[in-house]
Amino acid sequence: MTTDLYIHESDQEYDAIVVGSGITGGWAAKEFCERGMQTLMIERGRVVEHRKDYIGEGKGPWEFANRTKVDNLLVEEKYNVQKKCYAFNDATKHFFGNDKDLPYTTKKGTGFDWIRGNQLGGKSLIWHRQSYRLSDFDFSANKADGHGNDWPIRYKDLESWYSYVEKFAGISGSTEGLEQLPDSEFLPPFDMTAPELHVKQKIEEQFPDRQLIMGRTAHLTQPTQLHMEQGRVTCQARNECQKGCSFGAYFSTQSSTLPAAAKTGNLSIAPNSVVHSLIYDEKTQRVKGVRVVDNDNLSTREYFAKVVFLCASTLGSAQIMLNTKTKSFPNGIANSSGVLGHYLMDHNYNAGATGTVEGFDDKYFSGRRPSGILVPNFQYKPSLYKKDYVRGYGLAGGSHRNNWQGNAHQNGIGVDYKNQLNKPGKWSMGLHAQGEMLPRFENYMALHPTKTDKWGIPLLDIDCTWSENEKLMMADAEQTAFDMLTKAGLTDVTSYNSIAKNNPGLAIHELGTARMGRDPKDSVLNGFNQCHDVDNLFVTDGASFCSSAVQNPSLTFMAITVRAVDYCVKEMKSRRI
Amino acid sequence: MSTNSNKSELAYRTLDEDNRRLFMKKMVALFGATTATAVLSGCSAPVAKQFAMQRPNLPKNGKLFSEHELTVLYSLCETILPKTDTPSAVEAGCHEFVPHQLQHCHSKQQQDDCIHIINAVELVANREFGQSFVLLQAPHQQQLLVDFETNSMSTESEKGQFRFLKALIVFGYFTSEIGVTKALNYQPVPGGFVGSIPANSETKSWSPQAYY
Repeated sequence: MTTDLYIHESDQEYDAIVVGSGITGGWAAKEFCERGMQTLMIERGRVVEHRKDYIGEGKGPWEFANRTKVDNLLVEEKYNVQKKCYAFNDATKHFFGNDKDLPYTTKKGTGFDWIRGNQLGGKSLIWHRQSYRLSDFDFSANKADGHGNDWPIRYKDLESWYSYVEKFAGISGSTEGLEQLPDSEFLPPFDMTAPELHVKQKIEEQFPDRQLIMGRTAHLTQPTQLHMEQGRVTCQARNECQKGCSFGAYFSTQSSTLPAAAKTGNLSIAPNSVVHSLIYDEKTQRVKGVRVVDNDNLSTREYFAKVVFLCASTLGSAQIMLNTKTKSFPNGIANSSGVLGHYLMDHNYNAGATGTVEGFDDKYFSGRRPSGILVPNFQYKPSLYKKDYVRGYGLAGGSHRNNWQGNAHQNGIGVDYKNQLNKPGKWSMGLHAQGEMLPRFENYMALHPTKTDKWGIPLLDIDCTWSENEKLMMADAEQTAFDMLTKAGLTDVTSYNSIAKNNPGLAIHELGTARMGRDPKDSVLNGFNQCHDVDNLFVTDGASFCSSAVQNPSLTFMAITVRAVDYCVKEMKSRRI
Repeated sequence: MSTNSNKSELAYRTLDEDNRRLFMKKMVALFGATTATAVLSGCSAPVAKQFAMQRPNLPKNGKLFSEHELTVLYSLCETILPKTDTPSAVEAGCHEFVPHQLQHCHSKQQQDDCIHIINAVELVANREFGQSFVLLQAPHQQQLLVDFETNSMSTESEKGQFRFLKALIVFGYFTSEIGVTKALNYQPVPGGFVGSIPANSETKSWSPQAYY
């Protein structure tokens, strides 16, 4: 990296400003830079350097004051929402947003758990790395059953871009030839355990419409030249990813897109720069740049560019747009449709089942696999829908041999008890639903009428609830997961349905809020993620999604982003932007 | 430690000698040699016994447990996870870990539950054996806890509280350096994932990943 990579003040008019440095922003910056564009990446948080700032990495639990649990007082003060994330602990907490500084409100009687990663790299440092293509069934789902608007793109529009990002990021997985879950450009898949192979066989025998496959994940199981050039090596199977990985074995901005962008010499980064709003020129009907409040001292400054890409997260990008009120756009920039902030979605991870796989006492595994197994969605088109609800869900899971964590509560005192805790116990296996959430106008975020944060930006006021469709789906998923494990021969199968107690948000797959569409009257973006109303403003993160599908969305963020940059640069070169 | 060898070892000792030895060991471990020697200087077992029989003092300096309760906790740790071919819970520092973790990462209710259960065990020891849990012979300590955990010696809610404390001691043990690296099979950097390897009755568990 060049020493002048980080800037503070600048009068320069850049070719492109990219707001955000997570998975989406990293890709946008890399693609602009590699096309010879002077690019400014704006990040609201601090700089996190690859390796150097992974302060929790490589430490045993005993090296943390509370054995990697976070002190009550600190949680109370700063992390009341973030604590709900499975990856939040003492070794990772510095990569999570501070709830005290970043408040938001939810409508009375509702809740939304907004997990944030406000530092260079964003949530690419702490994501779960599961990577799946959407299929044509997903892109046409809204049209097929009438919920939401039709995606203006189809699988063929993204296919080559999926391939492009997959080869660079490195996605491990198995080739399956499933129509509802197109194969990626794969590195070898992680192994299944012996019980997983057994349950796979049983489930596929008993349920011919279902497959049990290895999870597809952005880990280098066998790096290519392209990955080694990025300074990345093979995954060591530590499964401590969210602490940061000095091996660069999982895809993050820091390990992958940032070094590639920096290598071009065309990248500048403005850290600690909280984007307040966009600067809009009424005369040219274009954005000129962004207004920024300094993260630390609250001073203000502006940055200028020919085009602006918002990659600030689904809620973050829409917040910036809503807070950009101009004469032509009194309700937020590019919001002539009035749908900006609406159709907020997450995924619905609220039901599943676990049980014991008898036998296999003579089998164990070695290493900590940073992935699991998946039963891809088997209700992926209207003819396969259940009677009382639409759309479907996938089932993610995995097996493990019980250990002291599970066995500590059993009866026992003394030598025998201790010896039993040292040994691997029975195999258990679970299947957990990952359900689609429908796009609904009623689920939305708006700016709070009076409250502002410390940077003077109106707080988000969120109103988002599960609809009847999601509730019916989870009730069915609970029963289905239970039946599948039972029919596969597992014992002591128990199931759960947690939709009544969990808010949307915790799947950390926020989507919608600035959706694409063919009709400017009911959508914010066109099929290239370009605002219908403002030619040089693009939104390429989850805000642009028309439906949630069931797949983890990050791989699609990458693909739509590189496609949008490619389009944008061509338009700039043809002087249409 | 098997019950038989324990019995033969104890056979040639008087009860008081044994009590004093145990008590001294605990005092030294808990409060350091100087304090322990001062408390015990010129005294024999009856003094130790008297000390242990006192009503629990209130904790000082905002601490969760009184010194008396800490001695009981120490003995609980040693009884639940004794020294075998791997170190004991006390050697792994669980008696210090439990109060720390309760204060920093658990609720007031859980803290109160642990205080209650330590005193409940102590009460039962006094009722059944006429002396502190700390001063009981190891087999008696073990039997008392087995009974406490499984039969009518405790209420259902106390059984739950006891299991919580026991699980916290176990958590402290298997997240300590000793627990992770000695009691279990530790792979800080596994180097890759292999889905299936052979295992037998001697195979140790892997240390889980380093966060929870």
